[in-house]
Amino acid sequence: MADNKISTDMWEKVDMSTLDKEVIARKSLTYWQDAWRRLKKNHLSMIGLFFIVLMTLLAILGPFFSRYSYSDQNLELGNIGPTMEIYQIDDNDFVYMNKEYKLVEVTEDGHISKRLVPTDEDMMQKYRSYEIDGKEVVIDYSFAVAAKKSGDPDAKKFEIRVNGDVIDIHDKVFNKTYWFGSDSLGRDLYIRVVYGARISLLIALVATIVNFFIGVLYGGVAGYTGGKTDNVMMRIVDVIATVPLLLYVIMLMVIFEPGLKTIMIALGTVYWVNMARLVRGQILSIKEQEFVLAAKTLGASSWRILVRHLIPNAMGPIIVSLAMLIPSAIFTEAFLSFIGLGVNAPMASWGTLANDAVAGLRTYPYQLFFPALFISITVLAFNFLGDGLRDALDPRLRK
Amino acid sequence: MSSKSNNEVLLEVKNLKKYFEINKGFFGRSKEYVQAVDDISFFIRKGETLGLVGESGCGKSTTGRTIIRLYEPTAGEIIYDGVDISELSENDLKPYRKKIQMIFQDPYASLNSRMTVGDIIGESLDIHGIATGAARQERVFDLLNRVGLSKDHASRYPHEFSGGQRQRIGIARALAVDPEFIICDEPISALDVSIQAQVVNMLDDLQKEYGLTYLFIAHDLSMVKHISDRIGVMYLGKLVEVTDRNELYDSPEHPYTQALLSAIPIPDPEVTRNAQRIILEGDVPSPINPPSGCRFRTRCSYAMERCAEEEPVLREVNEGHFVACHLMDEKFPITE
Amino acid sequence: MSERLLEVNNMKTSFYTHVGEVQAVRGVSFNLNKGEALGIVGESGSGKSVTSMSVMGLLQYPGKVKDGNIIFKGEELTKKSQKEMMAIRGNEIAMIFQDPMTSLNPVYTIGNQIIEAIVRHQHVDKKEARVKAIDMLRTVGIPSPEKRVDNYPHEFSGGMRQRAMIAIALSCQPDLLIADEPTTALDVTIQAQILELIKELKDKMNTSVILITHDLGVVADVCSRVVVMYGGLIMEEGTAEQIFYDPSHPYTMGLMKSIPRMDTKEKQRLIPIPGTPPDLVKPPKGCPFAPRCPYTMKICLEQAPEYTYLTPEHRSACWLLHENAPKTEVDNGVRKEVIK
Repeated sequence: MADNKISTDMWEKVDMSTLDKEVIARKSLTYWQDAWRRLKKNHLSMIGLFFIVLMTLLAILGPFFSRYSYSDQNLELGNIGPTMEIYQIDDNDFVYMNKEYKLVEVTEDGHISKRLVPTDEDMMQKYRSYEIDGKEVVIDYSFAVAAKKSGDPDAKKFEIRVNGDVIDIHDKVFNKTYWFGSDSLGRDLYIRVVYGARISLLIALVATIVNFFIGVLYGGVAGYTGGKTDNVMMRIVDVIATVPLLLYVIMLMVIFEPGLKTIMIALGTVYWVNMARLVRGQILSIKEQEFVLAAKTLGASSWRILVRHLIPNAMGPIIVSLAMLIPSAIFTEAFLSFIGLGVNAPMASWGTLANDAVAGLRTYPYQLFFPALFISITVLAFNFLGDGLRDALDPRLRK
Repeated sequence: MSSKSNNEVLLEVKNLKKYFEINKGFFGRSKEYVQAVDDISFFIRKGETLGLVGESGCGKSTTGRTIIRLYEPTAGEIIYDGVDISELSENDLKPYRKKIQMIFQDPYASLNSRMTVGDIIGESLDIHGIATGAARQERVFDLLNRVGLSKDHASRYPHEFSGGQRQRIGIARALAVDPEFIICDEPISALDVSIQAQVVNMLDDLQKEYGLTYLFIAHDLSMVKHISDRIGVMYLGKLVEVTDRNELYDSPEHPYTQALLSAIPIPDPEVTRNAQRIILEGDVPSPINPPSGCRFRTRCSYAMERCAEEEPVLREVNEGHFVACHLMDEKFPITE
Repeated sequence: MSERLLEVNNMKTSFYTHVGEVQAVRGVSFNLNKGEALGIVGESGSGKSVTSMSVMGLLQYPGKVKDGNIIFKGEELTKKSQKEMMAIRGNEIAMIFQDPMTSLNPVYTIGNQIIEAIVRHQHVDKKEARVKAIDMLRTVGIPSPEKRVDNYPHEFSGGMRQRAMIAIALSCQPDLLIADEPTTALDVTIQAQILELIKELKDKMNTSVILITHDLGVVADVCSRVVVMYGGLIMEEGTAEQIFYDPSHPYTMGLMKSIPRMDTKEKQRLIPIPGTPPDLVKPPKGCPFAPRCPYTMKICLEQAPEYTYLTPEHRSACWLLHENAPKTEVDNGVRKEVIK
C-alpha cells in the first residue's frame, strides 16, 4: 500500500509557532496601483489614453514643426488641399491647378513655390494662359458650363494645353507645405488645428480644475455639514443648474467681450454644479461609515475628516465624472465657437475652423474634415478613458 | 463580582435619551421621532466590563455612540470620572477623546482604505500631538506589536488584511491614545468563529495589562457572558435588566431576558434539542411608535392590563440585580 | 428506509479571476437521503456556499464546476442545460439565502412572487396559485395571510421576509431545500422562530434540508448529519452526535474550543485557532489546516491526508488517525453543557 511508504521522519511533529502566521503573501498594491492595473487591461481605454497623450503632445510641440503661425496668411495660396494633382510642364517644372483654374508652381514632391501670373486671361472665352520656361500653357475651362448642365460629375471640365498639346495629370502628391491644406485666406490649416487643440485642451484643463476645486469643496462641505446648510447650498446649486448654458454665455458676452476667457468663465461657473451634486451624494454615504466615526472619536477636526477621510474615498467617482466632463466641455466650446460665440479671429478653435469650412464645404471638404476629425478623436478618447476609469475605480469590482 | 473591579464608578449614565428626528410631510412640518434610546441609566465601575445585549434596533449601539458623543444626547447626563460630558463642546471634549475610545463592528468599513495601516494607527498621535517623526513611528510599531502584527505591516493598506487582522488594527488605533475606557461596538460579530476567540482573548489581555474598562456591546449572549462582569439587557430603547453575569444566567428575571437566553442555540445536540425554548411571537415593534407602558408587553406571555398602562421602572430587586418589570412587584415586594 | 436523494462526487469548483484560479471547492463528496437534514459547517472561504451554489447550478461567471458529479434523484446535474436546470430549480431544489432583504424583489408583492413560482412549475392558473400562496404563507406562520399576500417586501420585517422566502422556496414542495445561512442576518429570538419553522416543515413535508452555517449551535439544533469544511475540502463528516461528542479532526476540535460555554461560573479563557484561513489561489499541497493546527507533523505539510473511516458514517481527513501515526495526546474540546 502506498501508505506504508511514508518514511518515519515524516511523522515528526513540526513546531508551527515558529512560522509567521500573519505573513501576507500577496504583493502590496495601493488603491491607485490596483486601479491602474485594471485600467491597463481595458484596451479601448488604453487607446483613448494614447490618443489623449498624442493630442497633448501635438498641442504642445505641434507649432515647432511648422514654419507658419496660426495668423500667417498668403491670399495667393488659399484653398489648396492636402493632396494635389500636379501637371508636368517640362523636366523640372510642375504646376498645380486650383479649383479656380489658376496655376501654382510646385515641386515634383509637393512643395509649393508661388502663384503664377497669367500672361493673358479672358473671362468670357474662359481661358487663361501662362508662360512657363518659354512654353505657353493654356487652361481652357469652357467645358465647365456644359459639364455642370449634364449633371455628370465625371464630365470633362477643362483642358490644359502646353504649346497646343493637351497634357494629363502627372501625379497626385501630398501637400508638403500645408500638410492639412490651406484655408480661404491661405493660412496653414495644420497649425490652426494644432492651435485649436491647444484651446480645446486648455478648456478641458480649466473645466477640470475649476470643477474639481469648486465642485468638490462645495459638495464636500454641503454633504459633510448636512442639515440646513446643506439644504440652502443645494438649492443654490439647483438655481444655477436651471440657467441654460447658451443663454448664460450670451449674457456674459454682454459684460465681457466674446472670446476664450468668456467661455472659460461660463463653463467654470456652470459646470461645477453636477460635480457638487455628485460629491455631496458620495460624502453623505461615506460619512456614516465607521472609519469616519472612528476619526471623530479620535478628536479629528471637521476639516481633517473632510480632507483626509471623506474626499479621498470619494475620489473614484470624482475622477470618472471629470473624465466624462472633459469631452462635454470640449464639445460645448466647439459648439459655442461654431455658432460664433467663441474665440475671436485670427485665433482658431476647432469650432471656428469647422464654421469657416462650412461655406466652402462642397468644394473644399478637407477644411471641415480635419477639425471634425480632431474633435471626434478627442471626445471619443476621453469617453473611452472615462468608461475604463469607471470600471477600474468601481469599488464593487475590487478584490 | 469579579475581583479585579473595585468599587469606584468610572462612568455613570443618567436618564440618557437619544431621539432621531425624521421629517414627514411637506417641508418636514410634522415631525416624528425614532426613540432609539429612551431614558436609560446605568453605571460602569473602573476596570470592569459591562456587557450590553439586545436585538437589532434595541438601541445598544446608539447608547455606545451617544456616550462617546458621536451623537448628541437628546437628554440626560453622561458622567465620566465625575464630570458631565454630555454637553461639552468639541473643544472641551478633546481630553476625553483620549480617555474614551471605541472599537467598531465592521472590520472592512472601520478602516480608511486610502490610508496605510501606519497612518491609521498614527492618526490620533498627529491629532493630539502625542508624537512626531521617529517617536511616532516607534509608537506605531509598538502598537502593531501589541496586537500581534509586525512593523512590516505599517506600510500596507487595510484591504490586504483579513477580517481578524483588520479588527486588531482597529484595536491598535484605539489603544494609541492610552485610553481608560473603551466602547466595543459589536467588535466580533462580523468575524469567523475561530477568529472571534483571538480578538476576545486579546481584549481580555489588554484589559488585564492596562486596567481598561469596557462597555462591550453585542447581540451574541454567549460571548457577552464570556467577557463581561455585569450585563445589561436592552429592548426597544429601554434597559430591562442589569446584573452580574452569573446571576443573569442563573436567574434571569425579566421575561425578555429569559426568552433571549433560551433562544441561544447551544452547540450540543442533545441539550439543544431537548431544551425548553421560549419562542417569542412576532417581531420587535417600531421604535417610532413604541407600545405604551412596558414596551415588551406585545410579545410577552405574562402581559397584564397594568403593563399597557404603566411603564415599569428599573429597580434593584436583589443586590446588584436591576429589573424593569411589573411581575417583580409580586416576586420581590417593595420594602420601604 | 432511506432513499438516496443527492450524491455529490469529488466536485471541484473554481473561480477564474484576474489573480488566478481560486479553487474554492477542491474535491468534495457527500450524499443526502430523503427527509434528512445535513449541516455544512465552515468559516468564510471554506467553500460551503460555493458547494451549494454548484449544486443549484447558480454559479455565475467566472465560477465553474470543473470536475466531479452531482447526482440528484439519479440524474446528473452537471450535464444539464440552463433550461433543464431552471425546471429543476425552484421545483425540485429550492434555496433560501442569508439576506432576506435582497433575495426578494422589492417591486413585486410577496404574493406575486410566490404565485410566479407556483405558476411556472406547477401549471395551475393564477387563481388557484393565489389560494396556494395564501396557504403557504399560513404554513410558514405569517399572521392574516389573506391581507399580507398583497404586501410588498419592505412592509415585512426581517423575520417575516425570511418566512416569506421559505414560503416561496417550499411553494412547489421541493425534494431538497438548501438553506444558506438562513438565520445569520436575524436576531436570536427570530432565529429561534425560523429554525423551529424549518424543523417543523422538514418533518411535515418530508423535505431534505442542507443547512449551511458557521454557527455550530444552529447545526446541533437542526441537523442529524454534519459536514465540516475547511479550505475547500471536507475535514470531517459524521452524525451530529459523532461530530459534537467525538470529534476526530483538530479543526472541529478547534472550533468547539473557540466558542465560549454558557454553563461555567468562572471566566474561562477561550482557545482560539491561531492564524488565518489559506489563500485558495495557492492552496497548500498538504492538509489545508496544517499551518494552524497544534499537532502538525511533517507529513501534514507535504501530503493531503486521505479519509479515515472511524465508523461507516464517520470519516475524517487527518494524518493523526493514520495507523502509523504516533499516539498524540489530543484535547478534543468536547463538553457536555449542563443546562437547567
